[in-house]
Amino acid sequence: MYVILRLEGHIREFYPHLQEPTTIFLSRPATVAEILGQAGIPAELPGAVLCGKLRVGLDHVPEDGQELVLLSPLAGG
Amino acid sequence: MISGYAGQTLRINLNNRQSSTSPTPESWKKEYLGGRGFVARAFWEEIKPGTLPLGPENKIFIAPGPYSGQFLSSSGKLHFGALSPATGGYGDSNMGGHMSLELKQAGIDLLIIEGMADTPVTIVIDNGAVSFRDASAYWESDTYVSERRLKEELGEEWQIAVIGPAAVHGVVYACIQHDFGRQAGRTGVGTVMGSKKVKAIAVRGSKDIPLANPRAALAAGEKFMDAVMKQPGYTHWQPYGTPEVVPWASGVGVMPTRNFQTGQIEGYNGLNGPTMKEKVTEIDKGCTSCAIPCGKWGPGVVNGKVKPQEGPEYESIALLGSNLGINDIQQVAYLNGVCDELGLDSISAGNVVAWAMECYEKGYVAAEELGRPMRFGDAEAAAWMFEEIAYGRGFGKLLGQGVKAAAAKVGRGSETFAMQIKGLEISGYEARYAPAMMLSYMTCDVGGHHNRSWAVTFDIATGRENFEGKAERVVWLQHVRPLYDTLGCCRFPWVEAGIEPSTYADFMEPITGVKWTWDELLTVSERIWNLTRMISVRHVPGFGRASDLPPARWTLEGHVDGPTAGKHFTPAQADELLDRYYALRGWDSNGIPRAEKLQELNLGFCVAK
Amino acid sequence: MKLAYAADKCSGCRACELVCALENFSALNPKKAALRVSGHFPVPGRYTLAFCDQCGTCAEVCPTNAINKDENGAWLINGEDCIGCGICALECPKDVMYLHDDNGSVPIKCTHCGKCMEYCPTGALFDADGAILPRR
Repeated sequence: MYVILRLEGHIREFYPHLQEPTTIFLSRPATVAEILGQAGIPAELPGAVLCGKLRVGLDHVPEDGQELVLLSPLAGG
Repeated sequence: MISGYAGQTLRINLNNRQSSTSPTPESWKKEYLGGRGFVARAFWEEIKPGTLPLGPENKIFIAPGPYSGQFLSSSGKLHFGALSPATGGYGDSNMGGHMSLELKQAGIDLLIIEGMADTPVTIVIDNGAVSFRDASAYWESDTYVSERRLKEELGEEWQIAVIGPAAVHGVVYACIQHDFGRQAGRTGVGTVMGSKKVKAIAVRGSKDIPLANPRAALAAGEKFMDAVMKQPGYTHWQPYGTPEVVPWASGVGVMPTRNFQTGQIEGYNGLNGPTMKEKVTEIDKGCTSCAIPCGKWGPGVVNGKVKPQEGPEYESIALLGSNLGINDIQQVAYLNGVCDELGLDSISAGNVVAWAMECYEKGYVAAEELGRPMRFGDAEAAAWMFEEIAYGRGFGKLLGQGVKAAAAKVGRGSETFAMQIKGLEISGYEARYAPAMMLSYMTCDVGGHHNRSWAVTFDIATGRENFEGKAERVVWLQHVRPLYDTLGCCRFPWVEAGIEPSTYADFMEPITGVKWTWDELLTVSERIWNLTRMISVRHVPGFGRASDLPPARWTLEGHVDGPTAGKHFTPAQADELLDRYYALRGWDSNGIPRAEKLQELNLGFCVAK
Repeated sequence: MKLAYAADKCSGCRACELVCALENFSALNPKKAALRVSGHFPVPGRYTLAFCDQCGTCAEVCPTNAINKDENGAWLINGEDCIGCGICALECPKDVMYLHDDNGSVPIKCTHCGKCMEYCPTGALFDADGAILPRR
């Protein structure tokens, strides 16, 4: 099975190999945290993770073929 | 002539109540752009060494930029500067709302206020004409009452900036309020205004703001709004605004809690965006032409008492919430309203009161001395102390001098947890185990402020223990972020919505008629960065590396709990970060810009003779 | 196309004023806009918008028939026939006819161009006929 990882905003610059939506292959269903780990992204880095346009937590398990959008953190004011 | 500018510098002398205008210099448009650039350049020119921050020789510089007032999304920013009563060095502050548009319509690119009035005045600027109204009747009034009064006397369309009781009573972190919830918050620009007995500045303008190519500017604005609203982050962040930093910052352990003792408060989701939207917010409140209005208006509540307010923003949530041991957003909103009405910088005020609470809980200062017990979590006590500070009563009078001065007076070791750098209270990031962010705070030109360089993501992405690239990152951010303060617009379309920052160079041509590259814009920022450094070198005796050191808490102790419990860097590591930074900047080992660097940036006039 | 306004969605940003003047006068000058945002703070803590609903009262009272309806239903002032008497502005039930020195004595009036609805970022200003979709 697989998920598609898409990075938005300023965190993109840290992952030159993830500039385009990238397929991450999984041997079994995995949590968002595990998928990020597999992609080499610290789990606490994204400002939010969207799956099917809804915000999900790090323990969410996406379905086969879903897209995970990683939003960048804000910088407050 | 370069277009996009209103045309004039307006100088107002309070001693003789005369005003004069001079054309905005073309060379300044090219080398300093506007906004923070004009403020810094005029500051160097006009503030003599030996000037006292609250003396008659200090001046207030107020400048919009070429992007202010544009249809381009989020163009409502205005920059203020003065010699800071908090730090004794360069001080500036940026303010949202609708005043930069109005000043440009009144024909003004730079406003200089000098001298001192003999009685409280409101300065009235009606297109070109300057007059003064007696402000004695509302001199002590809070900011909402004062602005409301002036809007009624002059007209709703007037743009007003006011000070409150805190500035009137000389609190060194008094702010300037505008539009019921926007502030020039930090470094005591409000205090300087109060020292000059200026209660308010009221502006009305009806002139065209010149544009090189109005149709192209309209098209650029349309395209930009489309782009901002299509960003994937837009629908997610816009409803909540900056409070959505709360869960992220808490998750990585950088949200200051109980006077920066740790980086995460229990129950922090009681302070996040969705909670605030549910419990506080009634409507959005936006600055000029903003597609991503971050302002949230609604009532705060403490023990049944209600205060309408705008916000609270992440910084206020951090310093008035978790930093005071409070995780209830309604209480934080109330405290924000208190600070806004009194005209207190919510960041400094929250920081100072947190220090007082730690002093109380650890027995450094007794309840009798403070006036009442000051426990973390007690919103009533915090609200009471903000009033004491603003009116200069009891222990509040000392706290109104800033946490550095208060700790110096109290002593007993309380200096180790006075969270300040250069005399300015540290803002909302508990950065002791995030080297780029800690370096950002250490080297921020006005003191312990985050907004010149926000580098926490970089630290998380590249590793906290890794010092590689950290100084480079801080230097880059210190050029990019203040560029917005120079252009006169807001950075949130970039920071919140994810627009590529270099696209901002594209708007220079339709607005000014001149093509600029992104790198050319960043060079202006580098010039301004070195200029503000030299201003502090000139005005603060002994300014140098010692001014850039972090507070003792950050190199002595780790967080008491949380994801980074026990971790911190050593003073030697802080020095290492500074060494790397100074080398990159072309500064000597004491952090003073070398002559070659100043010459390279056309700042030869700053070179000591 | 019919201008409508939902105050609870308005953030007071005034993009509508800016885009109105840019479109109709090629000028960056919200004082030349044919609609005006007003803030009411701290109480009740809301914005309101004064805008033209093309009621035609201005045309009825104009002594020189300088105001006529175009094919899109907008009442437009013909500057050459206007004598600058100001009666239309006085009689306008919404007080949305504005004077500006650059326009002489000819009032500024909404031309029903629809740009404000197109570029209101919050959807507070919207087309009640649904021809222009709100952004939010």
